Formats: sequence, structure tokens, C-alpha cells
Amino acid sequence: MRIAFLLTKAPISSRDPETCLNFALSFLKKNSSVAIYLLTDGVLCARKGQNPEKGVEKLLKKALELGAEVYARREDLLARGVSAEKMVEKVQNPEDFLGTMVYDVMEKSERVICL
Amino acid sequence: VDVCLAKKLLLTLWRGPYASQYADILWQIADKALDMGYHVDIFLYMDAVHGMKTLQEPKKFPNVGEHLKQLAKRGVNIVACSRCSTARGYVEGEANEKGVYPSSQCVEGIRIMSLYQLPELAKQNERLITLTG
Repeated sequence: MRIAFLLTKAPISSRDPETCLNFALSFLKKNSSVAIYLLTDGVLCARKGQNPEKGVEKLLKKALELGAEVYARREDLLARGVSAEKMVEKVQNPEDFLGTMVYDVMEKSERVICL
Repeated sequence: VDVCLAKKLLLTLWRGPYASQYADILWQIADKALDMGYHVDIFLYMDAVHGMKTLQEPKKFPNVGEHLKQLAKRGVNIVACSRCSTARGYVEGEANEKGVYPSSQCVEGIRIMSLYQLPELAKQNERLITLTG
């Protein structure tokens, strides 16, 4: 099974990113395919050097290690001053983020979870 | 893509315009899905019904009402919750035989209908994206 997560919340001020990533890890441990789409304030989850390091950044890296595909919306990254060197490695920022996300939601994933 | 054969995507929005990015991401996702040949339905709930108001004139932000109007022109079925709309002063009478409530403050192409339309739309669509904020 493939699950798509759409995450629009920033870390720390909301617990939704941790909930999202813990869900994602649970699916990954059950051998599901996982894609995580970070948009609007959700792109801040992809910023490296977060304190506490044990929070969202660690969960995101673990999800990537277990094979999750993580995409961050380029326009939202730029709007928030998150350049490529400030991002967690392996997070992708495709030119057509919305097209990638819509195609995944409609054609590849069996379930969509929005947080 | 033939609309009858196209897969359907339902988008629900809970947040009002201009207070956050959610209303903007809604019409951007809808536009993209239409460009890709999918059918799109939109359900406006809670403060999101303010997005349908006529005469919006934001100075710095995209005009959400105008974007919703353009989406309706492209064939998007946009429904606003009647209870939320009534609470916010948009409903100006009883529903007609099709269940649509009258409003002179609603941009063209948006229908104010019962909340029970939401599960009906969910049943008709292959995928649901909720933008709750």
C-alpha cells in the first residue's frame, strides 16, 4: 500500500508534524510505500539544525532512511528563506510540486492523510 | 480527458481567506488538477465560506473570490455549507427545490447547500484532500 501525507503545519508550534511523521514511520515499518508532501508552513519541517534535534528533524531523517519520498514546495521554501543548503538532505523540491502531488494522490497512493 | 471518465478529486477548506495560505493553496491545487484532466469538487466549510463573498478587494493577496469564480467557470462544482453560511449572514431565504439557498453576496457559480452534501460528494470522489488549518 502507498500512503500520501500532506503536511501544512510548522514544527514546534504544532504537534501535527510529529504525528504525521510517526504515522509515516508506522506505515514504513509495515513495508508500505510513503510519500510526504510539505507545503505552506509544512516546508519548515525540512529545515536542518532544528532544536530540539530529537523532534521533527530526527523523525524526518528516519522516514527518509526507511525509504519515504519527501517533497517540499519550492515556492514555499523560497518565501520562508529556506535555501537548498539549509534543507535536510534527500528532501526533493520538484519544479512542478503540485503536479507531482496531484498525480501521486490520484494515481499512485491508495490513501491520503492531510495534517 | 472526458469529464465523465476523469477521476474526481474533492477539496474541502475550513479556513477563511487572507488569514492564512490555505485558501490560496486550495485554488492552486484545483487549477493544477483541472490542468491535468481531473474533475474537481470543492466544499467550503466554517470560515471558508467567506471566500465566496462578492466585492473582495485584497490589496496584496490574490483575490480568493475571483479565483473561485474562475474555477466554477472551468466546471468545478463548488458548494458552501448552508449552516456556516447562515451563521455568517450569507443566506437570505429558504432553500429552493434543489436544496440551494439564496444569497446576493455570493460570487457566481457557488451554491449554498446543506452539510449533507459533503458525504454525498465524498462518495462520488476518488480522493479527498482536507485543508483544515
